[in-house]
Amino acid sequence: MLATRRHILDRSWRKSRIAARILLRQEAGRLTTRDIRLAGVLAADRGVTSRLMDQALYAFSGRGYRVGDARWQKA
Amino acid sequence: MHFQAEDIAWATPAGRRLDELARALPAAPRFEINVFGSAPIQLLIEPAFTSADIDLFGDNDDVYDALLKFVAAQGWTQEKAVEFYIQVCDPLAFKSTFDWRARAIEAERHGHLFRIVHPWDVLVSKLQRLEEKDLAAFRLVLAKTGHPTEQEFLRHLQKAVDLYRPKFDEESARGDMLLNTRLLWRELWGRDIDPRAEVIRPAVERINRAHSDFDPTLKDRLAAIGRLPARRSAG
Repeated sequence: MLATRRHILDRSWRKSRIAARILLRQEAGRLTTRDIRLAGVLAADRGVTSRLMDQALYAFSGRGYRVGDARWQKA
Repeated sequence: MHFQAEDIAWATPAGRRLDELARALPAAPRFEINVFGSAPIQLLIEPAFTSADIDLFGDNDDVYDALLKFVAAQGWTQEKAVEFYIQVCDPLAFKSTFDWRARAIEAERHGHLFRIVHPWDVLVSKLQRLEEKDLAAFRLVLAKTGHPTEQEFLRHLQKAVDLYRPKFDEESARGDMLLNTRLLWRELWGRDIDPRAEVIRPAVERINRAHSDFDPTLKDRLAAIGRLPARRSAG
């Protein structure tokens, strides 16, 4: 039971990391067709959340900077 | 306010009793024993602050049972001891700040570990009851050390915000934290306090910040990318 749960959690985290990479590629102007298709799939996935994506962005940057911050604060 | 193992007054009645306990305990298993109640104040602040007992608890049910049996066998329980008995308590009985362990003063004694609860965390646990004896502990700690200041203790109480929640019906009436906090402030700092405004709300704001401190628009942005026309690079 525990293993199943951990597996599910890991999957959400992995998908959210992929989603975060897509956001980064968009900011860098390097989106691909595959990114666009995956973004649609991941956006419909309940396991992919803003919170996990935010954590992934933190993890990628390795510092206190967030890619999403500027846009978020302007909104 | 920081204490360390060297500050523990082992020559006090509580210190001597704990030392005796450590010496008498079998060498294995190694016990980890938490000391709370009035004993930490006697051990760290004022040797003359005596109490009838030492309150302690282990970290799990096994330690609790073993200590209970051992203390009874030694004749150090309330019923048998002629002076200064040891009260082995259930770990659930001690309620204080969420991070009291980080401040506790640890000391090895005859192969066993004693974790002496920091006096401020003892004060938080006493605030739940706030009998005259408990108020005396507050006055003593303040008089001897000048701390905690009002602001320091407000901040400290925020770390114990769950103690302000309504009690279960099954819980014995141990005192009302809201009321006791008001009484304490009037007594020590001579002013009326609104615990909801100065303790509960700031603590809840800190909790809420931790739970919502992320960009909530990220998934919407992802969905917007997913709606872009296919076979087109977008930036």
